[in-house]
Amino acid sequence: MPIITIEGVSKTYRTKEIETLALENVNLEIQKGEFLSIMGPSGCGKSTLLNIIGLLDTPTTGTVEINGKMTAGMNDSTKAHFRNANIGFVFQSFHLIPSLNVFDNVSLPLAYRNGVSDSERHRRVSEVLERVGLSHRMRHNPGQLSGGQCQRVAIARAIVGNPEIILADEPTGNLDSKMGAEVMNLLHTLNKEDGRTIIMVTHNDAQAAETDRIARFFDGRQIS
Amino acid sequence: MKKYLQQIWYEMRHQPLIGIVTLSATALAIFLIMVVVTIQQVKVAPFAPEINRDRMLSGHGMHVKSLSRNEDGSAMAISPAALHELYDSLPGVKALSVYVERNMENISVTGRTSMTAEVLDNDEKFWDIFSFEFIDGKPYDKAAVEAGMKEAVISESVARRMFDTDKASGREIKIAHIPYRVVGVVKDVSPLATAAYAHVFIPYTSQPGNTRASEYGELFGALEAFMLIDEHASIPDIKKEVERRYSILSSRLKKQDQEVLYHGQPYTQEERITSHGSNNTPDTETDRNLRYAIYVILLLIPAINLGSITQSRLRRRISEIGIRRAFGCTRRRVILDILVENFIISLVGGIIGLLLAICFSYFYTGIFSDINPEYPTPQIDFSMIFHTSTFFAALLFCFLLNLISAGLPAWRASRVNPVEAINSVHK
Amino acid sequence: MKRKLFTQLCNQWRSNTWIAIELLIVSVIICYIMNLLVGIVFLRMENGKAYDVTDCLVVSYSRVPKESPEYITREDEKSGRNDDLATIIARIKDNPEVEYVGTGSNAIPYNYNYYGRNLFDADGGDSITYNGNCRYMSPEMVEILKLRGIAGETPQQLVEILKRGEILVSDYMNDPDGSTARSMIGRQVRFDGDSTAYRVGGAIKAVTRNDYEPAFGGSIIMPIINEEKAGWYGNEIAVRVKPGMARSFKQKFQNDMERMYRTGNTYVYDITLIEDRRDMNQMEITNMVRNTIICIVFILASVFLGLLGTFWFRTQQRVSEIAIRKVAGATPLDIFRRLMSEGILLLLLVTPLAIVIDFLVKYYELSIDFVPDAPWSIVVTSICATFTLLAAVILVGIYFPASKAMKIEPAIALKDE
Repeated sequence: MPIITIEGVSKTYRTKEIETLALENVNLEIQKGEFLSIMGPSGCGKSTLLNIIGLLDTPTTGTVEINGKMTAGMNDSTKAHFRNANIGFVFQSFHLIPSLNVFDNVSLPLAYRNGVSDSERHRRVSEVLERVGLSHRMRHNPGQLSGGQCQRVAIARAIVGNPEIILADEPTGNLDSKMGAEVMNLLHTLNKEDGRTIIMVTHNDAQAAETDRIARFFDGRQIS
Repeated sequence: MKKYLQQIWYEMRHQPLIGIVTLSATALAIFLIMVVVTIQQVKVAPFAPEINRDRMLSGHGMHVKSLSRNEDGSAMAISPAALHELYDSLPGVKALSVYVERNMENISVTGRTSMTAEVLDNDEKFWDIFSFEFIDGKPYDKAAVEAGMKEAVISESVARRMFDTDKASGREIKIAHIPYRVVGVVKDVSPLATAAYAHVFIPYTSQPGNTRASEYGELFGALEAFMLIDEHASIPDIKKEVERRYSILSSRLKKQDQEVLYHGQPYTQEERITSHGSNNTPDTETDRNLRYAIYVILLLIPAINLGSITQSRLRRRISEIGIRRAFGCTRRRVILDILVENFIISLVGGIIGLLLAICFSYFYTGIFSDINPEYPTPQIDFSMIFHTSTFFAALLFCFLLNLISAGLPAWRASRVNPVEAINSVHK
Repeated sequence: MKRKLFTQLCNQWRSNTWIAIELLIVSVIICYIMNLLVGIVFLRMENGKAYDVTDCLVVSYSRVPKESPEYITREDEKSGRNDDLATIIARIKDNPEVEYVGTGSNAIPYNYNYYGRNLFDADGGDSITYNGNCRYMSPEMVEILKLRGIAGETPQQLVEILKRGEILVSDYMNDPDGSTARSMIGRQVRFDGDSTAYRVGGAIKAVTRNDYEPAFGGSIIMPIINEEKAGWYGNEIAVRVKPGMARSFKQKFQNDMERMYRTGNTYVYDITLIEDRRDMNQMEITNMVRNTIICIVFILASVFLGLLGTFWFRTQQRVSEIAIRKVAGATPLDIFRRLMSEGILLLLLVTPLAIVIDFLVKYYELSIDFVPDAPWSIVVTSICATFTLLAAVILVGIYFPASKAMKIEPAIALKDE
């Protein structure tokens, strides 16, 4: 059974002067527990697709169904709660909040969830930090961490709320190969051990090859 | 709460100048607003001895005008007959005290250098309406006032100057060269207590001129009145009754081609301090509107400034807001968080401003205008310039300032597209 | 260059809108308050003051009441009182510091009494030729107050007029070239309900109630001459002492008050510098002037803080732009100038709108005007003053961020990006 069903999704960006077609009639089914790579040159619309799946952007036409729920017509707060419960994001440039320490960065999704007690929060954050191997850095600030460590914190943040889906936008793009490999290992563990669905945008053929499936995009269209 | 403080602390450390600018702009605004509030409070809020300001009414001069001739008419304090006709046994009035506008008199004691002091001629009810602290002796009583006894209550400083002691009861003091017997000594009163302030108090009946009608007409004289009203008395009802009595007076004066103009007497404290002479109706409304206009200006300008700064600050944090949105933060929550965070900053600035305002009013009494510079510097009591309501007023102004300055930037930040926000780079 | 500056301004329109709105509101408010201040300055310059009260004191006296045991019963109390006064005046004159002692009624300025009387032409006619506040002065009083004539007559010349039993009238301040007062000179006039004719012997400059207001109507100076014979001194005694001796004389006088200046049933109980009395009477206006200045300073301080904050961020946001400009050959001074011009350009853009509002406020008579029929020059001066003040504050507010921007090192800035 597909966890994400994308049907006939197009996305057009309009500015005063030009109209850009970012996605054109994309149809994609992603199975529960699948590790999908999205590849393609810059500007092919892969990030747009990721954003639409992540409910950060809305398609111009077409529908997206996630976990049996149609995303069209959700209002802002429903979307926010849906994202919070179902989706974890990992970004190329980590996007940790500089004013918060590691612990607070990781616990961010829990802050937007009702009914999480302090002790519960502490338990879950410690747990995920343990998994990414950074329990000893809990009180550090992002500025004191290396790039690989930052991305591991970001991954911890993505999974602390226990979402089924992880969206990773070039998660190793800013890392050297050794650190990149560490991060990829982590993602594979999350996929294999927890059965989380992972959708990853990447430029790295080798990394893509290790995943379950590759979807290639060119000029807004899926070509394979 | 902790996370807000963390965020504020982080910004303070990384942008100290902006922190200082924000705090000082807030403090400056609240400081000035609170000074205006304090000035008004000293005028209308109760403090000893004028503890009944909110239950006090006052009747002043009367404005008489010719019916046929086009003239401004004349206004003057009133005669005993007019006073009793207008103000005796008004419904809801608990006590009526007659007084004569205070004047400077020569005060002397045999064998001492004389001095000039403010003398207030009044009656025994005065001591019920105002709460004086007697150091020695007691006030003159009803019998003394009725008999026009030459008894005096003097202030502590007069007692010390004239007798070297504040236990001066029973001693003789000459007021305008007429001997009086001191019956009581009271603690000095601040000149800010504009109704109760004086150095020497004597029964108004002890000065024959006070009880006579003036040469300008039977209604005119030297008297004015303070009234203490019941807790639940309706001021409009009392005024209506006085207005009715004014019209009776007017219809009687018709024969003499005259009328009395009713200017809304008796006055509340707020009306009393805004009245200019007895031939005008006090315009508290204009006064109040002017004050509101000042508040608006004093709030608006810093708010725009702070708005501009908040806007810039949020622009730097836009990617953070995008991330928060991606992890399930709703728009409303974005706004709320920004407002709460800003409110804490406003509050800190506001407290600084409030403290400055209190210190300023405490040490620089010149702001309370209309005080005779020849009077001793008014003693400012903390209770005069700080009331619980002062604190809440400051809180309210902080809140408003925050709402105006952070409201729009917060709303804008919440509307920003999370994708763009995340990808925007602002160092 | 200017065009580019303008484009840049548009690009930063968000933060510029805040600043522009602020400058607009602030400009209008400051101009509104400034109007008041300029008006007051204008008046003080226009008020060719009719008198000079430095080194002048006023002596207050009273009489022992009949009820007092100290009261001296005399055959003729009225002439006794005049004798008392003559004695007191003579004793004051004996002081070496004293130059003149004079008496009067409603004579001492800085009081708000208005004893309004109408003057008619003596030879019939019911039309009022002049209305003024009637002030009685002994010739010495004219010397004490150093009254000045409309054509520059000295106090001595005015004294001669009063000594002849003639009266003086004063100029209305809002009467251009003082024609009302001037036209009165030489006419025979009488008061309402009185047939005695007086000659208007001269005209003095406008008499104001305080130093801020225009003259509240005219003044009629009536002579008090030959007090001893006429038996009336008025109710005021004023003293002029040698320059700079007023305070010390007051002190000395107070010490001697009971011993020296009490005679018969009359006693002196107070002596005050007329300047102190003036300060007291003008306090409300002085306070208002002080408050408006505080208000302007506060508003400017706010603008300063706002500009400082906003431009501080702006230079931070534009570090790379500034770096690139430097790479392209801009000198630090160019960068500095550029930021400064941005601020001034904003002010220039806002000012026309502000001026329109200023004039509308004036046109619809919403402004507080101290000056009756205030000339437009006051508004224009206010606008100029407002612009100058704001420009100065903008320059100071942007100075710090701009000087910081000057110091940006292109290499480091671009690497950071």
